[in-house]
Order: sequence, then C-alpha cells, then structure tokens
Amino acid sequence: MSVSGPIDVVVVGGYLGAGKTTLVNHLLREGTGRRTLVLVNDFGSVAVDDALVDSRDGDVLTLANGCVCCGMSSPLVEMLVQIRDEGLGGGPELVVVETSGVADPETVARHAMIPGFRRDGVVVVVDAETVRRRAADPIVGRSIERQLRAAELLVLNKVDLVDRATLAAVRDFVAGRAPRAGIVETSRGEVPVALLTGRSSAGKKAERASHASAPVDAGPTGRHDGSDHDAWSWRGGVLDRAGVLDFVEALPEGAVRAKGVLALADAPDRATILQVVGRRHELLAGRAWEGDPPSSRLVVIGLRGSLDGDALDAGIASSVAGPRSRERDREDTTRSRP
Amino acid sequence: MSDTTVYTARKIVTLNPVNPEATAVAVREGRILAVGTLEECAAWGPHAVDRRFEGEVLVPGFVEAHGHTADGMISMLPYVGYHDFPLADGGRAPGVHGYDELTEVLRRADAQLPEGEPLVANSFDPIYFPGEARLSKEHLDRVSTKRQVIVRHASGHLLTVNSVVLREEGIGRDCATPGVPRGADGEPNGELQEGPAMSLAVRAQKKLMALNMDPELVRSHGRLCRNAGVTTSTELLGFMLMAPKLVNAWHAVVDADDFPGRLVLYNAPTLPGRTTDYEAVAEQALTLRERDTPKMRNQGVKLLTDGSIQGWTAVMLWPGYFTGEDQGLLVVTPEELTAQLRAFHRRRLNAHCHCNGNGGVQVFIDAVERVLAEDAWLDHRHVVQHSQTTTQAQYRRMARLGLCANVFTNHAYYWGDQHWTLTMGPERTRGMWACRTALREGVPLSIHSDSGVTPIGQLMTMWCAVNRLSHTGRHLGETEKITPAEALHATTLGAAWQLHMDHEIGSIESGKLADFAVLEKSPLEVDPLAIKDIRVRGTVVGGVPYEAERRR
Repeated sequence: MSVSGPIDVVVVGGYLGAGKTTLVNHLLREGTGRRTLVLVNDFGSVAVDDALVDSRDGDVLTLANGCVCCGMSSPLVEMLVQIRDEGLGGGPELVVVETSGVADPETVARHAMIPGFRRDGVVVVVDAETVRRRAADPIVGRSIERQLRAAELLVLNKVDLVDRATLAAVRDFVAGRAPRAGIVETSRGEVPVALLTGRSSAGKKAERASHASAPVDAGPTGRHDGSDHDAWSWRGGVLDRAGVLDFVEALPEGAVRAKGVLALADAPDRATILQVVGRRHELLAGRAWEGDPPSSRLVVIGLRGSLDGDALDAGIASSVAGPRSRERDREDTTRSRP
Repeated sequence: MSDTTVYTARKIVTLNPVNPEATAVAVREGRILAVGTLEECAAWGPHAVDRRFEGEVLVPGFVEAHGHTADGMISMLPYVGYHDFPLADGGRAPGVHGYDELTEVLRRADAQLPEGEPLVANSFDPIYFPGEARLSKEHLDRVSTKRQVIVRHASGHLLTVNSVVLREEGIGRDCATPGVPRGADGEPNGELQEGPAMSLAVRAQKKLMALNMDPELVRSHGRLCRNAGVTTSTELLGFMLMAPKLVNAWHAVVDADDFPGRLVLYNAPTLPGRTTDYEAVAEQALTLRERDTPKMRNQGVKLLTDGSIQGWTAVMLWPGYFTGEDQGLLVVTPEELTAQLRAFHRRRLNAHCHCNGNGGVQVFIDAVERVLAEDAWLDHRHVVQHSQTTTQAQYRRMARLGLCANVFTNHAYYWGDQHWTLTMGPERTRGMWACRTALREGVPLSIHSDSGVTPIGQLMTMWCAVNRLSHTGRHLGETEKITPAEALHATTLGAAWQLHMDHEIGSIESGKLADFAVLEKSPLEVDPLAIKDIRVRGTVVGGVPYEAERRR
C-alpha cells in the first residue's frame, strides 16, 4: 500500500485537442508497471472538499474547477496531500496529472514538488497540424508558447496529418520554442511508455514477467531488441560528479530520459539521485548508505535507434572516480541546459 | 389592524422617471403599493403611517451585482490590511500601518484563540511599508512561539509564517518546493511564495477552507450589506454546482427572517466527470433554480477568462503592461469558454464573465457573438464583469451584441496609483473604468465593489465612478466620469437589469418589491466629493426595516 520513496509525478500538458487524453489513455492501456493514478486537472486554485472530487474508474480523479482570484491553496496540492496522508487513490507509485488546455505545465509541475512527491517529467503534447497557427494567435498564442517552453518531453502528435515538408517546418518551429525538450513524433498519442515514465520495464508484459528483473539489475547491456524504445543501463562503483554532468550533457538527442542512483565521490555518505528528462537534469541528495557499500546504477532511455551502447559505455567509464581528480569541480545540483 | 404601512420620508428618490421624487411610500405584502404624497398613498385604503424615516432620504435598495460573501471573513479573522475595513457589527477593522501595529493586532488575537488553533491573519500589504525589512518569521515569532501564526498577504501570492509553522509542517532547509526562500543561515525565512509553497501550510489552509464553506460567512455578509444600504447582493463565485449539499445550508441562513437582504448566486460551472460536459452542468443549474426563494436565487453562471491587473495576470492585448513582467494567461481556452457559455445561453441562463484585461474581454465578446449567431436569445444580458480595460471599440461591439458592463470602479481608489505608474501608464489609466463610454455607446452599466476585494458600499462605489480619485488623491482622468444620478442608476436599476431582476427591484414604484436604502442625505444633493461619507441608517427589505449596526 504505502511506498517508502517519494511518489513520481508526470505532468501531461498541451492545448485543447492536442491529444493529452488520448496519450493518457494509451498510457493506461499499455500499463506502467506501477500502481498509477491519473488526475485530470482543470485549472484553478480554490478549496476542494470531498464533495467536489468525483472518483471514476477507480483510477481517475477529477479536480473540481475553481477560481484564480482568491489565493487559496490549489486543488492539485490538496489532492496530493490527501493521496500522501489519507490514502486517497489507494497508495499510487506514479501520479499522472493531465492539465487543462491553457495551463502552464511548469506551474503545475511545481505543485508536485512538495514533500512525498518527486517531479518526474513534463510531457507536452502538440498538434502538429495546428500548433503554428495557434501560436500566432494574439491571445491564445502566449499559452502555447509557455507550454512549449515548459516541455521536457515534447510529443509532436498527429504527424500522420501533415506532409513531410510541413512536418520538418513544424519540427523546427517547436524545437526553437522548446529549448529543454526531447522531441518524440507520433500519431494517436502512441508514445512508448518507457519514454513517458522513464521505466524500461513499463508495460504489462514487463510487469507480468517479473518485478525482480528491473532493468537496473541487468548490468551493462545494449538496447532491447524488438522494443519500441532503446534502453541502456549500467551498474558500477563510485562516480565523479563533473564526469556525470559531462556524460549527461553528451547524451544523444534521442535520449529523452535518464535516471540514476549514484555514488558520487564528493558525497560519500549518501546516494545521489540523477534525474534527466529532455534537456533538464537535476542531482538530488538521496538516502544515506548506512553500511551498504556505495554503488551506482544508471538507466538511459531513448527513441528507438537513438542510443549507441558502446559510446555510452565509454562515456560512463570516463566518469568513474579515479585517483586523478578532475579539473572542474561543479557544486550546482540543479541546472537546465539552455 | 391594517396590512398596509405608509412610510413617510424627507425625500424619496424613486428612479421611476414618471414619478422621480416622493415623500411617502405605501407597502403591502412586502411590495410597493403606491408612491407619492402621504395623501396619494392614503387613498389606497386602510393603513398605518410609520414616520420613522421622516427625517431621512429613501433611495432604491442598493444592488451589488458583483459581490462575494468572502468579505464576511474579515469579520472572522484578524485583519491586518492597510486600509480600514468594515466589520459585520458596524465597526471598522483599523488599517495596520507598521510592524508594531501588526504585532499588536496579532498578539491580541493570540490571546483570544484556543490552544493549538492556528492564527491566520488577512490582507497584509507590504507595498505600503517602503524602507521596512520584509516581514519574516522573526517578526511573527515575537507573536507566538507556541502557536502557528500565518499572515496572508493582500496580493494572494504570499504567506509569511512563524517558526512553529515551519517546524510542524516539516518545512526545513532541505525543502525542495519552489518558493521557500532561505535566510543567511540556510533555513527557510518564513516566506511561502506562490501556490506550491503556500500549500505547505496545511493546517492553515484547512482552517481557511472550512471557513470558506461556513454559512456563518453568509450571515456576516448580510450584516455588512445592511450596514451599507445594500438590499440585494450577489455571490459571484457560487459553489452550488460543485457542492450542491451547501444549498440547503445557505437557504437556511438567507431565508430566515433575521437575514436582512436578498442574495443572488452566479455559480461557477464544475465538471463532474469530463471537462466537456457543460450541458449536464447547465441542466443541473436549471434544477437548482427550482429551489429559489424570494430571498435567495441561483440565477446564472459565472465564467472566467483571466486574472488580475495588479497581479499582472490579466490578459492584455498589445502593447501589454506598462512595466513589470506580463504573467497574463487565459484560464480557459476560447473553445471551452464558448462551450460553457453555449450550454447556459441555450437554457436562457444569464452568464457573468470575469474579464479584467482587454484580451480576456475580447475572448468573451467573441464567444457571445458566436452563440448569439447560433441561438438568438436577444435578451440575454450577459455581463462583462470588472471591465476595467475594455477598449472603446470593444464597447461598441458590446452594444451591438446586447452585452452589459459591470465596472470595478473601486479599483480607481485602491489601485489607481499602481495602474497609473506601473501596470497601464497614464493614457490607458485615464481610459480605465470607462463608464461614460459605456453609457454613450448604449452598453447597460453597473458598478461594483467585488466585496471581499474592496469593502461593500455602493456610496463609495458611486463616489469612485463620479470622482475618479485614487486614495492618494491622484486624478485619474475626466472624460470617463459619470454624474451622481447616473452612478445611482448604475448601483440600483442598472445592476438589477444585469441580474434580470429590474422588473422586481432597482426602483421605487408600484408593484415592485419594497426594498429601500435609508440614507441621511441624498447622494444627488451633496457635494460629489461627499457621497462616500453619507451615513447609511439601514435598509428596508420586503417592507421590513433593518437598522444599520453602529459600533462605537
């Protein structure tokens, strides 16, 4: 029921009609391998009581609509606190928040940065056919621009509805406005679940196979043949912080997610959590080792065909802490590449 | 014993053009039987003469067409705002003008609260304390180190809390939530900025939520209305579609004989299930209306397009804000707004839409034009609420489409300086609250206090529209001023029109409900600069007199 670690929160944003709900339904259909709760978040920041929460299908909770003027607590936080403290939603391990069509997903994601939860990616769904026209609208355009700017994983949806030249132009258009996003092209919201959740084991098949064979235990491997995505994982000893940051910066464009529980030379007492979604990455303090031998585990997930296992092996090998201390010493724990 | 009472008055300003002034009004069964001289009223048959208003002036009961019952909260929590604020008992919560006064108000409140209850204070506004260090946990620790102390800032975007809150809510140096600034020692300094961080004050938020649902709030609002001469007020962010179980509790308060006014609710649409099912919500709104009573009605729907100007969250068309960062964002897509409006419009339910920025106005006008072309309900009287920056061109479109404007004129007094120097600049501030333009173009006009945001009181609201002065005395433009007579119309019959109630209230004429404001002087006769200082003696609602409370 209750989980020891923080609950992951994935935010799914995008304008009305872009395909957010289709994508979330796809995610639920495919399965995430974890107990998953979907919150359908209409905008707002007003008190919610039990009467305002409509529970549907056991897994989808709707946040009641509200007002922005009165500065009360936000319904999303109210609900997250209830999930954390009062067992609402039955103890999920993953919460997916589907925002309203005009919400700034960055703002929504910040609401998930409260104790007990871990922000685990901002997915923004874009309608390849209409995004440029909408972005040019003097009023709606600013909502679109903010959504693009917030994207860590940008899902360019409905690509089957545009020709190749248009697609190329749209790709350039969104890439220029979504500087920290990894971009995935798709139709009908059918994005590999691993890219959305950062778990290569996602999907019902993986879940059925065994929980024990999580990819982090697989040792250095190449990609998963026949899968809808690439995954690379690595297990080893103590790493060097600057080396890890170099490794992250050198990840290929198609590598949209990486997660790690790392032993860093400059933080010997406790694990360091690495989280990469799109171009945004952070290093956070994790649990103390308390007698366990420090060790590092790292997973990279990317678009199919995007990961070169040998190059990644070589990259991480040069991050292994050695007697030669590295020249650069970076203290920052959270940065976004421009 | 007669069923008819004839009230005499020094003067009755009727707003009925065929009979503009009178000295007597006959009341039967809660309604106005006749208006004229005592002789004219007496001619209707047996009656009793009541001379309690002999020395007073009666005007139609004021109608606040954009109010919130949240103003009652000021009477229920310690108030630490800068401007004095009226209380339900007729007194005033004095403004707080420095940190010493703040500490004193909070200490007094602390002494009265039961052990363990969080102390939550409202409306602190540091914009008026230039040169002072920012409010921090150290200030509030001087109030209590045992009890949670939480100060809500007037902007709505910030809380300052004491060390007890930080400790009990687990807000420490490792807190990863954005909006928790640290002091020099690396510990949180007591500020909780914006929604995510403010939500960390879990106990305080729970207390506020409970208060927000408390019918006692409605009772306090009713007393504030009576003291201000308001006989019909509104809750323009009704929760009845989201929490229908509240309806009975509210009716119980408002329908009781001791509740001195009428309350009209415009409910926010909720989404029980899918966001697109506004048709079902509108059906539910029709069902709600079956429980309407003479004193409380669920009259229509409240829609929203954008935020506030002083918060830089209103959506402004080019060139946007004068200074500061443009945070303007629509709170709903134009498509959804149209779907919301369509569902209610089709069912002949009146829509009032919050639009502060002219971009928000634009989206709402477009939606109205669209649904009107689909479904010609010509007498819709949908309202652009706040209408603070509506352009001249937009007023011309509104006139063509039958849209009304309910203008937030109190803003001129409270934030006029900020609009002049920070948000809009001089030219556009002179064109804000464009009451004259509305009247010239033929847009039905009302003006409002947004009670809770500013104090309810139609005399003050009239004063703002007539004089256009900020609280520091800045003149905010001549051309959009209106006359006292026009302002009185806007706060009575004009407001009633927008609620689809002008056939029942808003003027003193035979057949209408006997709702009056009792004033010591006529706002049409005093110096326009003195309108806000006219004393309100009380109200008459449905023929029943309610004396204003005055705390000395």
